[in-house]
Amino acid sequence: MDIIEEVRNNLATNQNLTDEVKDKMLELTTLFHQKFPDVSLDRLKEKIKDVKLGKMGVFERKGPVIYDSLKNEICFSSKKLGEDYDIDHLMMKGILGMISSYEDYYGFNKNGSLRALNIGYTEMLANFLVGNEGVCDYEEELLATNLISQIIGEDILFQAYFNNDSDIIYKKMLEAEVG
Amino acid sequence: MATKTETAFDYMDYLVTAKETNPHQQTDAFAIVLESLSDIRVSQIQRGLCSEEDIEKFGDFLPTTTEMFTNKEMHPDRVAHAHQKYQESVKIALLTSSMEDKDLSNGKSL
Repeated sequence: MDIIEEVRNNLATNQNLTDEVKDKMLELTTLFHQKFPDVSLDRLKEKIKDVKLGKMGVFERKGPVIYDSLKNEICFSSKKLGEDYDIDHLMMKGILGMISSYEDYYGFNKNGSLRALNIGYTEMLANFLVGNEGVCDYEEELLATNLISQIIGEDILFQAYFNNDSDIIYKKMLEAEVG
Repeated sequence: MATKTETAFDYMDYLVTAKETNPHQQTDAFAIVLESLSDIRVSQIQRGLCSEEDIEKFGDFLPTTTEMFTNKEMHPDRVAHAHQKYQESVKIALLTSSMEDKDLSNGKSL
């Protein structure tokens, strides 16, 4: 069975999401798969069966959206939902979280290490996939990530992100620094 | 002493924290990140690992860069500030490097 069909079937069983949200998630997942057909969707396929949408605590300031792998929840800021954010961009970052997270890893962020680089790269990917017609809270992270992609190669970041490999990032950066 | 890599990543992560708790420290943290990354890039330049075209592209922060990933909504003031910081860092690093080379060729010790 085609992977997108599997995702569609698993989404259909999710009791936590409205049909509208399911349609949007399937649309964004399909778009991702068209752009990056070699990236596995096996993790997302499983997580999408019972992923929830939730709100961050009132005093949490972790950006407009985060994906919590432990709770399998895409959390939106309770303060910022009323501001000028692009919901497709936010939802795509949630999708990327489901695709790239595994145990302690979110992309190449393991236990908070390389957190900013991971934020910047997720922002980049979401921009590439769906653009961003709204507010961007991570311009500095985006700029720095772009510079790093030019130092060590964008392909390295791509492989590290989807294979949860932070070691290669450090290795390549240190090679660039000292030879 | 921390490597430039460690400094860059540590201050990038601090930048995220600063946004959440101490917004007035964002600019300083970002400047340190840029300086560290600039130094690394300059090191590559000095080792001949970059073409002239690569050097030109590295300074191009604008959303119209030829790179695959762009952000069309990047604030122009921040982009200009980052660009300026980068150019200053590269200029200083290359100037320092050429002064060292000159001293060596004159037989002076550093």
